[in-house]
Amino acid sequence: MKRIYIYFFIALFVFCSCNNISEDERLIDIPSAIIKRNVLVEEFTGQRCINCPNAANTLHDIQKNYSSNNVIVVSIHGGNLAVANSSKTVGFRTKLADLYYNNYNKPLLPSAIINKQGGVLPQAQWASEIYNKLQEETNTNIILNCTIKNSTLSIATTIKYNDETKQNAKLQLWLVEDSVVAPQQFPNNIIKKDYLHNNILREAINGTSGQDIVLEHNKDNIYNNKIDINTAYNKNNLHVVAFVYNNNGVLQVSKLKINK
Amino acid sequence: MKNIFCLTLCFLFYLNYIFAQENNNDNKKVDVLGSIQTDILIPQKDKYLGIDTIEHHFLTNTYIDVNATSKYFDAGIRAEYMVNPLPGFDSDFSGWGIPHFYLKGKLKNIDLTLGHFYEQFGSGFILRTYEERSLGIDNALLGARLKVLPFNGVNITLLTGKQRRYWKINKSTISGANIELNLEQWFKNLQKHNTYLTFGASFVNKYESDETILVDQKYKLNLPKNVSAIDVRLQLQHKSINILAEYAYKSQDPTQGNNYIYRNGYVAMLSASYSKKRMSVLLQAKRSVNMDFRSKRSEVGLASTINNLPAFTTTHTYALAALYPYATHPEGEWAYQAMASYSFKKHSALGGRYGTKIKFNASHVVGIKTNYLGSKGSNGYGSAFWQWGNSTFYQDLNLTIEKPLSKRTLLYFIYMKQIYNETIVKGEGSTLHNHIFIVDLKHKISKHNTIRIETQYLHSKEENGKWAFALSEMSFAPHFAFSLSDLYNIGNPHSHYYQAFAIYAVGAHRLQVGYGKTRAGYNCASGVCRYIPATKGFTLSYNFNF
Repeated sequence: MKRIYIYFFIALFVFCSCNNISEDERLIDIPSAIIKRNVLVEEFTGQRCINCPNAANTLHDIQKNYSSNNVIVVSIHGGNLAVANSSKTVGFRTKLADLYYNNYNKPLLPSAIINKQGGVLPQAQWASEIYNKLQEETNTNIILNCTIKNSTLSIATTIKYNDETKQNAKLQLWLVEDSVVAPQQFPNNIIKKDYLHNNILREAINGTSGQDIVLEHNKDNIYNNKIDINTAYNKNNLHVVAFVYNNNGVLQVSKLKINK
Repeated sequence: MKNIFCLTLCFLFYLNYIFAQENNNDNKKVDVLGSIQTDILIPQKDKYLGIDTIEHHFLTNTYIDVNATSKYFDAGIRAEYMVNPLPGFDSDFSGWGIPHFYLKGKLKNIDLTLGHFYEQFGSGFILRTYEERSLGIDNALLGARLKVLPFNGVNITLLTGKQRRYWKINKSTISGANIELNLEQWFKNLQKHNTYLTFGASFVNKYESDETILVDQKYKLNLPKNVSAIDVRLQLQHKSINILAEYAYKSQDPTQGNNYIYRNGYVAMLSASYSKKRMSVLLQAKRSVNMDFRSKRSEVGLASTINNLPAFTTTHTYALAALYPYATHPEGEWAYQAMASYSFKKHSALGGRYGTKIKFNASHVVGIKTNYLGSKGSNGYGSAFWQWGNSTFYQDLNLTIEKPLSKRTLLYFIYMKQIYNETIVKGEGSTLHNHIFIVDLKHKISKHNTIRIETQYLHSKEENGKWAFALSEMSFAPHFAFSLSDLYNIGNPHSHYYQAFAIYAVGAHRLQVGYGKTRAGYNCASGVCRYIPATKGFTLSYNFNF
């Protein structure tokens, strides 16, 4: 009778090793994504976050797979691992970034929210979430037009809405900058002083949560906004990210270089 | 929801009243025990601490436990309230409700628990569910557990359930079995020679449904739905010697934490101790590789842990010794610990008039050597068993001398040399080399009054690395105690972290009120650490055990 316990445990040990998957069975084919819309990725990052460069590479690879116009990334440098700008260090932490970071309950870095749906996600889930979101239908399309006079940027946002049901939403415009050289921390105590940062959230052009809009069918809804460009920014590397959203998430997103 | 909460509280007090009625018949006697614990912070702004805004003016973690025990049944319930919790807890920690309840039936050699329960197999390498309020950890299982003692010297546990994650239950199912054989019960010669031999074996399986984790545009991972772990251990106790050897193995477990590699995990530990009158020695070593085991693949942080790997480091209580605590590195580490203590007799040359006790501890933790094999979907890395990695994660050499100076005066002197790799533990920073000196003097002024004074100094070559700490504490037994302390970062004028407390205790009640500032840092227990941001403000803690 006592032996039965021993046999039982030996069986459990054998079961343990049967769970392993051989190397040639670990990947499953998936069909290519049928892109029906653009996707917004709000990435929470920081110059002192050692795993964030790897996460940035992940997003870069995803953008290469689909297109940076289909997968639009905005990097929000908020929280204690972000670095504020000073006379000694180029930093990207701002009150605006901290506000968004706090709004999502100070997530662990790196993390991102895709189309303002499904909560803040760790890095491993971004690819599958973006894959799914790209294939979702939308009734909304955004066309951007930018002009610069002196240092004032004027943005005309045209929203085309293809649904009979009128609905309220918000339009958010962000000013985002690419190709800024600044320090970045890496694993093993390495700091790269000449790291190239992209997708940096600089300004909220029309308020921290955007402006209220009404989406109406068969009516081109045009919204005009202006912003004075901070002289510290490089105009050649700036672009505007515009997205329409409501309580169900982002309906559509678009981006445009300001001097295009 | 508030009505349900109030009704539940009323029910708890009613339960207490009903069960408090004793019967002359012992078989029907029910004991009711419980506790109330509340910690409150009323925060203030402080520009030097970086506290620019106050989101909520009243923060609290509050727990109410009631447990009833009788000959055949136990039952318990816990209510928690942390809608605006104390700073530093995970965002999902916020909430309130009844997250813990259980009913246990006991008959002869069997007991069956339904509801929430905590359990540990062996040293916890493959299963340890527990509650640690200071860390915000409560990973209890909700399900069923059966404990059986079928024969003398045989203990069996079977369990299944789903794990608590803050205010939700994870979807995966955890099942396990454990057997402990006390071999001296079968081989009587062992007992005759004061030898006790225990063999233990455990098995845990996690079943988690599939999810989509893309490798790239074309492929997703074939994730194992079952992840299993086994643990075997042998413990020998002979007179003053105790030896424990334990090994645990985990099957493929691709998770967010290990970047979805398919490498197996294991931990091997050997521990030996010797304890005799006035002397004790402990030596232990542990190697762990890829043994982070969670009930949710995508989880990071403190939640959803199924197991626990203890850190082979001393848990310090003195402020500067605890300034840089170590957390077990789940990816892998080699950890060693040696501890020895000796009490010199009274009136001996080294013991002096009142005796002296000396304790020495050495802890050393290094990384494992790895060779890269691939990323997501691969085996990740290889690692030879006996080889160390290049990084020292943590080292702690400390000497404690406990010396009564008189019948009323007790002196502690501690010296500690510490190496602390900030990047490994906190994710950023350099390697610190600290020397810490602590003097703790306690003097009994009268029958009821005691004074204690602590001074501490931390010397470090790193910038802003020097610290000083002083504390004075007066207690007027049995009811009152007062303390005043200051932690100061030498050379940094705005870094005085002062605190003042007043404590009142009567019967089972304890009330503590305080005011002060605390620096940002880490609170650790059992190798697990939680980041706590800097705070300033009034605090209140109340504990009542009934």
